[in-house]
Amino acid sequence: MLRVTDLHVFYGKSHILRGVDLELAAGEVVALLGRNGVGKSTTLKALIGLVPAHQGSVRVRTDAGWQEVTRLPPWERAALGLGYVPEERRIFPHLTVGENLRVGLDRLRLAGAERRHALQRAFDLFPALADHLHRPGRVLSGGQQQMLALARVLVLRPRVILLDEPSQGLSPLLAEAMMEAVARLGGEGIGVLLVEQNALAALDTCRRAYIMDKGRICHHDEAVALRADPVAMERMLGVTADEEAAP
Amino acid sequence: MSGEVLLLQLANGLSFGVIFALIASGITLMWGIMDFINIAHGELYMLGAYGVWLWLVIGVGDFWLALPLAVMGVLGLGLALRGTVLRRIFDRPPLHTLLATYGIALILQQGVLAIFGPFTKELALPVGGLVSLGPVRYPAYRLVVIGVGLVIIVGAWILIQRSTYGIWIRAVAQDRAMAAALGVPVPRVYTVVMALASALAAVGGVLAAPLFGVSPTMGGEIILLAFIVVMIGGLGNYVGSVIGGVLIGEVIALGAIWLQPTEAYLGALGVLLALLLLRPAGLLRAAR
Repeated sequence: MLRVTDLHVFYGKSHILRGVDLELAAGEVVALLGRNGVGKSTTLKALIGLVPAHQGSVRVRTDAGWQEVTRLPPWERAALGLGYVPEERRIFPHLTVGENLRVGLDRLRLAGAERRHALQRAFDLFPALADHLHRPGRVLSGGQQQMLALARVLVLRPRVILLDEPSQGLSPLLAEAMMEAVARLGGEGIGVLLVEQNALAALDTCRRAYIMDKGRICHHDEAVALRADPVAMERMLGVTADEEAAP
Repeated sequence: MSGEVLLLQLANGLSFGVIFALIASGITLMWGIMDFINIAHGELYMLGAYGVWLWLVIGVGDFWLALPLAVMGVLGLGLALRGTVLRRIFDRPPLHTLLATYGIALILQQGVLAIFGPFTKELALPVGGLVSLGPVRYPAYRLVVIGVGLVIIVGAWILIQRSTYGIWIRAVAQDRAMAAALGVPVPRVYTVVMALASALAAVGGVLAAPLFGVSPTMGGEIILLAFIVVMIGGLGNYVGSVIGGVLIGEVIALGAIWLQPTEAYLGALGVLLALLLLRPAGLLRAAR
């Protein structure tokens, strides 16, 4: 679904991404982990096209085969099936919930029944949203905003979702529900690249994980293997054995 | 002061105000959504007025036929500017856009001066006669200005509230990068905003032409006031710019009861300054 090779990104003169390589298959939920500031969020921004790639390539598999999107603007990448859910959600505060959903949905120009189906799919995953359609985005709670941020992308029928810190700022219960929703997306055939501060929760949800350090992928393994290797976990993620033992 | 004079000036203020609102609403859309300060916006208003005059001189017999023709012409010019000069200076520092659009304003103003001369052209009122407005008899055309202006303003507002492009316009204003990531074709949204703003300014110019005459400097005279109206209404706030426009029209008209016109203008600027000091974020803030 998604293939990234040797991706380099600069912010001004600082070399932020120094050759990121990763792959994502259909229906696969993969974690992108690492300490703060190693370039996880920048990777997602570069994949959707919000920051320009200096070098390397991003390819998406569409019905017409693999397509190079490295130089395309974000809206064309979205049309090819890349969905992006940013850190802090970035709901449009003065648009209602319904209008927030329409922003992407209207681009698809779906017929009535198909359109209702796309919305229904989002409401099936997050029933609470249907009750708040006419409320402005700014009055929603953190959990509702996160649901809306994900639903807003889901109605676009994406092949791949780039998901940045979905459980940030949520209560443990909501965070768990969010991770369950992420797992369900994988079950529906959507590839999910998940950036998550809470490495343990991410490893519970994902089959594989990439670990980043200093703008590169430094390690890549099955989630089960990573969990079983506390030394690697502590060295690469700062997760100590104590934390892992905690419930 | 009699009640009749007050009523008369209130109505006059509303007709000025509607014209201000037509100009300011376009500025606020461009500024709020594209972060683009277009000093040449006043010239689109001026060209709307010249357009309607020209079509009538050419021999389109009817003002109401000349109106859409003039608006289409200005809209086309707005899009041509967007496609040529403005395209290159988007996302530049504000000083660049200020200077570049000021340059465009000068070129348009001097161009019109060179072609049509410095003298004010008079237009016959397209709707003659007086209408009874309670105790006073009031020029029918001014009521038409108020009516047509308000219909256009409300129509554009409904477009912004309900249509796909309207939702995209507001989404881009609130978070451009996020809108782009969700599939909104941002350059096309800018084009629609430019078209809408040009058309609104042109309608203002067409409606104003029979009231104030048509002259090369009419755009330059109104643009500063329009920018202050935009600040009062809250940057990017369409409804705010309309309220601000009507407010400034009323201040000028009511001031004229006691003051000379230039003093009334000064008074209006004083009110605007006071409002800016008291509510720097605008009357309605920048809610979009």
